[in-house]
Amino acid sequence: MTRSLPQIDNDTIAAAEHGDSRAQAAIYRTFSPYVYTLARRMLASRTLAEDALQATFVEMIHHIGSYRADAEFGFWLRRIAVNQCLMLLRSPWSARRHDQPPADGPDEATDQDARIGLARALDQLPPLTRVVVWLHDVEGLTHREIGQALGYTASFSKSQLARAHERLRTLLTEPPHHAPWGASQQPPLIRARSAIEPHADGLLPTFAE
Amino acid sequence: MRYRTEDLLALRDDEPIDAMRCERLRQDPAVHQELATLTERRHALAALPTLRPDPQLDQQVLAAMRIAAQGQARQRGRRRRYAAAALLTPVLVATAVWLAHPPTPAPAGPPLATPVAQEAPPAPHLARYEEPEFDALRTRSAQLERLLVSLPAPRAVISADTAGTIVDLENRIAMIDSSLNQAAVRGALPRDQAAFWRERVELMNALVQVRYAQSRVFPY
Repeated sequence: MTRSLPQIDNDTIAAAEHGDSRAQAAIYRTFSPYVYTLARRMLASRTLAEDALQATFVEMIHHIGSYRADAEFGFWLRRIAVNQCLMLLRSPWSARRHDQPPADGPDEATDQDARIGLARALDQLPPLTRVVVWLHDVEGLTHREIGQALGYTASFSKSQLARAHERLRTLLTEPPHHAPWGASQQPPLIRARSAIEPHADGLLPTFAE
Repeated sequence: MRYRTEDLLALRDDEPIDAMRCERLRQDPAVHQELATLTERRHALAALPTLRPDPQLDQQVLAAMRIAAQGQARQRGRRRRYAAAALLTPVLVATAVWLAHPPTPAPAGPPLATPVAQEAPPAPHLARYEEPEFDALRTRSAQLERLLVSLPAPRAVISADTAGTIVDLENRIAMIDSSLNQAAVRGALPRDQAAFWRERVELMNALVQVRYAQSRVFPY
């Protein structure tokens, strides 16, 4: 079972290619939830997912002239989105922003939802492992395709997938950590430090681990 | 029996796996349970809810897309203008050069060095050796010279190939003229000079054809 891609007609794509802003907006409305979900799951950060969403659609505008109708538009757009997410994951600046605790916003499921456990466990996986499990198990990419996207081999993708499932099993079976500030969040002082750190470069004291 | 998650995932996803190991894994009841869990987890992951970006973010992204599209349109327009300029520049340069140096009537004199033999009256002791072919060749050569002079002035812009051919022909004619001069000084017989004159007529003919083709105005 893989996530199905949204569909859009070729006329809209052609109009968008010729600069029709309404067609471009129609493509955005059709694909933005899909791209946002992909980015949010791959990056485990709402802020980075928003950056990836914008970068993906701006890249789409820049390269829509190179799209050939022999492949499905959704696959083409997904490749752009995956590349944008991987670029954000590799960026040191993004990694720093990624350290901030994910804010509970309107895109997050509620605690009553049984799926929240799996979603949060997914967020806790190491970045590459998380990317591999999402691209393979949900998006349906082969290990070879994932290896190519990441710049590794298919064997690397296979071992990361196995590691991801082992880690998910542990995370989903271990008892939840009850902390007064909430199981999924960092302690308040660390959260406060993370929030102001990007704006106070070098002003905050550093602590040896 | 111990099993690796990688093998279980290969079984789950129908990927190639060692046949013996596959058989052993399939006979293990614990593997069945683990496979079911892995399959269920994949379905659960795929069933995670689709998330929607903040409506405010929608406006922000759409605005960024509009800016990108405007940039693309400007870039396309700039590229078109550059292409048009690249096409028009040679035409404009050629026109400017033509206006600055309008075609003038060609000078009356022959453009190429005229062999001494053509100007100098034949020596009396050579007259008896003159042959009809020798005279015909000299006459034909003179006709071609006049034809060449009467052609319109060459265009300012010509292809490198054409220019190379013209220069090559002119050089070869100059060498023939030099040889004819030396032959006249040595007092060579007309029948000995006839080979040079024949060669000169052929080269002149070729040069006139190239210059004629080159001077024609094409509609593109």
